[in-house]
Amino acid sequence: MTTPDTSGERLTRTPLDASLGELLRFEPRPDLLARLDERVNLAAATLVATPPTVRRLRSSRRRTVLGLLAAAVILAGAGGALGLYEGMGAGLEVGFGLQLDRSVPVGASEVRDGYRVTIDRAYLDGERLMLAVVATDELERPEVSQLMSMYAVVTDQDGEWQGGGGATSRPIGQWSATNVLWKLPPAAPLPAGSRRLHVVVPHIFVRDNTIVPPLTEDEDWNPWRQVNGPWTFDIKLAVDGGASVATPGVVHKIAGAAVTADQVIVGPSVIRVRLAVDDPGGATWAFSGQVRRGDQIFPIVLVKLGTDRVELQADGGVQDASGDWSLVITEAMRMGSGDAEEERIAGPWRFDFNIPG
Amino acid sequence: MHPVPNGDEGGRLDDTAVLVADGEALIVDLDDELALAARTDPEAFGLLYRRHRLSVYRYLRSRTRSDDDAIDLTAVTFERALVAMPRYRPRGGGVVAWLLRIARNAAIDVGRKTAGVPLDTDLVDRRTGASPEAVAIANEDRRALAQALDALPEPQREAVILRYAAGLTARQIGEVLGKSDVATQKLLGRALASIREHYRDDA
Repeated sequence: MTTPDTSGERLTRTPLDASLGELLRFEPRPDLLARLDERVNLAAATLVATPPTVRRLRSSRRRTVLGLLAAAVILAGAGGALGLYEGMGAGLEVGFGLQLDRSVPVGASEVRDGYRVTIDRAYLDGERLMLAVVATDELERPEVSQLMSMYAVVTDQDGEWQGGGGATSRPIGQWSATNVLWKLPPAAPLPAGSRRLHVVVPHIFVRDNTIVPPLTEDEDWNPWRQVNGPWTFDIKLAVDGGASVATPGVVHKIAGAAVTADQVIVGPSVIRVRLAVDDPGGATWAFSGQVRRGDQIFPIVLVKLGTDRVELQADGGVQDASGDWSLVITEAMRMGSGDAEEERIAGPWRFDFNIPG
Repeated sequence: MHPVPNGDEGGRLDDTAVLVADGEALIVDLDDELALAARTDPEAFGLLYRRHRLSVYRYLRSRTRSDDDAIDLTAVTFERALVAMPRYRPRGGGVVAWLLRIARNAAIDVGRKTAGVPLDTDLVDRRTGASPEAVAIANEDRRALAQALDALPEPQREAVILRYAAGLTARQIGEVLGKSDVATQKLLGRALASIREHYRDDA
């Protein structure tokens, strides 16, 4: 997907807007800012050190927040620690935990115009690549309030790697952000051995606090400005575990549509399912459910919607994929075009398949 | 949806921590998360402070006579926020509107003793490389604009400052001033019309 260039976009729409913005956008002197920082930090350290009785955070929220705080603390010290990325699995928490544990430090770094992009860690298995990327504004520009780098082009001997694994970003203070992105190989599974990958980060985004927010909700407003690189890296990674591919070919009729379990890729950290949908009505479909092997259950957590093809990703994977498996669709969702309402159709539908040892 | 920074398959990002993946986006309001964590953790409060210190400072600088006064009031604002953090509840305007309300009260407390403070018209054009004539003309423009702003009734002036100094939306401004969105938009509309009129006459 191409991200349009918004570098020239400003919401100072009239000369008066621009004049008022310029008049009132005061910049504190660095010495005064340092004094302010010192005073507030001291107050925070003193007051929070003796907290009043506080409601405990819900565990999920606590995990998010603690991950965030861990990130902030760790970045101040040595980079590259795993805690920097905790909770950034984008739904694939089990699989991401494994990827993170088995990821290797890369430390490839480039600076363009004061913006440093670093491939901090990486994980590669037979089914996917995970890149953990840190973006930092080394010049600490006052107008920058947030950074993110969630896009990269990855190529190897077989061609360009695909999206489909998603991406996440989390700010660490004003001038730095951790980012995780996933890429899928042109053809899975990858054979054992190692891969040379050419990674290009063509641009990053910075949130520019000189872009004045609109008075009212405005879909055209975008405080993000594209900063062009490129930041280019060549890395070599060992394939950590392969992946197994099954083609079940099982078909179920669901509300008039033929749904075929086309392909299942069982990787060490994620299970990917491709369904072919033949719907005379041309609706968009989504499915929920799980992938099972015996008493092992891998819940479907991500759905890539489609009209004739739907991709599902289940959280978790196995090293040895041999055995009898089932894809169990518990609910189908059909979304018509225009004003047609979403229709939820209860299952279950079971697609059995075997992966030989 | 308007294009915003994306991973491969979409998602959105503004003042949020975002987990984005195909067809799934868990959007966490970072400020609210930080505000909850800041009750017990100075690191979280530090992040919150760094995200909003400039907005608070710029607002207060437009209401005070000097940089030092603005810095002191900014510190007071965050010290009060720290104490009040356990009472913060997520609302429409978010943490930034809550902070600006504290800042406004702090400025009002000082204002009761020092009366209204006009905008500093000795501000100079910060651009470098401009000719002395251009700088003189620009400074004259700025003085005229500052005077037009100072001539506004206090609620209008306040709304303009919250918008252009602190960068708040109408909804957030309304929350600071205790007005509805519609009332805030009308207030700002009248303020800008009035500035336009005076500014054009003076410039």
